[in-house]
Amino acid sequence: MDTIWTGVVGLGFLLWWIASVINQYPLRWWEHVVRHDWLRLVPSWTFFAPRPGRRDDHLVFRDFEHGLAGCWHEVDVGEAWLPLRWLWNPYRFRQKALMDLVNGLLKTRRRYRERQLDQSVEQLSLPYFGLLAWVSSQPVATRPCLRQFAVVASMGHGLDRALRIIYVSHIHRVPDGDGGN
Amino acid sequence: MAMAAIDFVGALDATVRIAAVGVGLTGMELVADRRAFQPRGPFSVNVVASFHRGPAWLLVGPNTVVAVAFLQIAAAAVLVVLGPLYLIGQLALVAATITSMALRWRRGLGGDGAEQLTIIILVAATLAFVPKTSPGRAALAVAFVAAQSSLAYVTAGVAKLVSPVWRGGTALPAILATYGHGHAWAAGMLRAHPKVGTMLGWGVMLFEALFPFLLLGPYALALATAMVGVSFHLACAVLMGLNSFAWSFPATYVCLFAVRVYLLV
Repeated sequence: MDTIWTGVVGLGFLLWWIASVINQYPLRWWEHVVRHDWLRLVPSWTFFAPRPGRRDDHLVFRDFEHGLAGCWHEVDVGEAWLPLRWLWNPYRFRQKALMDLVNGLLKTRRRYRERQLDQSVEQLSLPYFGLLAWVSSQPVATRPCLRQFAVVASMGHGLDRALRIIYVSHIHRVPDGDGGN
Repeated sequence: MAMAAIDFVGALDATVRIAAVGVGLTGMELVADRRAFQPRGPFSVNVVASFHRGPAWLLVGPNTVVAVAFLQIAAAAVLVVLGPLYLIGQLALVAATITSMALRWRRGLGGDGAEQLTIIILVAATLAFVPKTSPGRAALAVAFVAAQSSLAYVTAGVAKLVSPVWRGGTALPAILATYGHGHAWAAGMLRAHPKVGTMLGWGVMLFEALFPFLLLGPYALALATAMVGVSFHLACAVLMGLNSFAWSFPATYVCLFAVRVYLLV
């Protein structure tokens, strides 16, 4: 019995490794297969390549009152304490979450452009939903609330920092249950 | 030959103990930033439900997440101290595996390669040590972890080598010029000395692409390669904030050396 189980485990490892090798290549047919990997056991190992992230993303939003746009506010993603970041970096999850959502949104936009689809359809993409839900959960000053979000990219440190708006959303109504004061 | 002479069980035990340090730290970091799971955070139920493909009823609230994270920390502590070989260690291994996978699934986003490799190590070790330790399955798990680690390094290196941005030497200075994965002093240094940036970029590419092959060389070369590897991950932690990589990737070196001995001795 133990020998059979060892054989099954060995075969499982082999198949897992083969799937991992295939997953390193951007194959369209494989994307449909790996979509069913609910536990995300099949890894992707292309760290910072081929196009490394060269910007910091900032998620900002503004509200409209009586048709007038208010100030932009930034959603807090925390800031690591540099001297201890090599060991202790608790904000890395939320910072990476923003990066994942923004990269997903830009990828969706690129794909829709390639297929010459209507750009407004990207509002139905999962990354857009995620960003919209995140800004909708931020505090609301007045109700009903109309809200718009944008993604601003910054490059460089200190005075050398350059800013660029890389995405501006449509205007949405914040559901009454969201964005408690 | 050699299969009986090499202590694969011991190698996997050491790998799990080192990786468990990273598991514990990850749990503590999640507890420290538990606000991320509260209503205004990116991992609140409302936000995650908007893009998650899994069943909504499994998206538990922040208090449950913190409880699971505490269980993860406790399991990791047991693994670091006792290892996964005895009953309490086996229970801790199962707990660490399940909680790590559950917390990553619950977040839906914000994962990285270190977390992926850690889960690979934990799942492989669970299959080797639970319900009882099997030297045969431990050998297979060690080979599997070593193969995944080798694949990770080679893929990372080759993906950079085919990239004009990396070959041109502008990738590393640009990454270090960010706040998220950068460092002001290092970015300034590379801006002042662009050739250093190009050399370091090529060093990273060649090191990653050749890493598993260098380990198969003479023992002194293999040991030097492993030391460079540990230094590389420490540098990534200090300069880029990739703290969890400094535990998960060096943890696999024990498995890589066990496979090296099996192949060469």
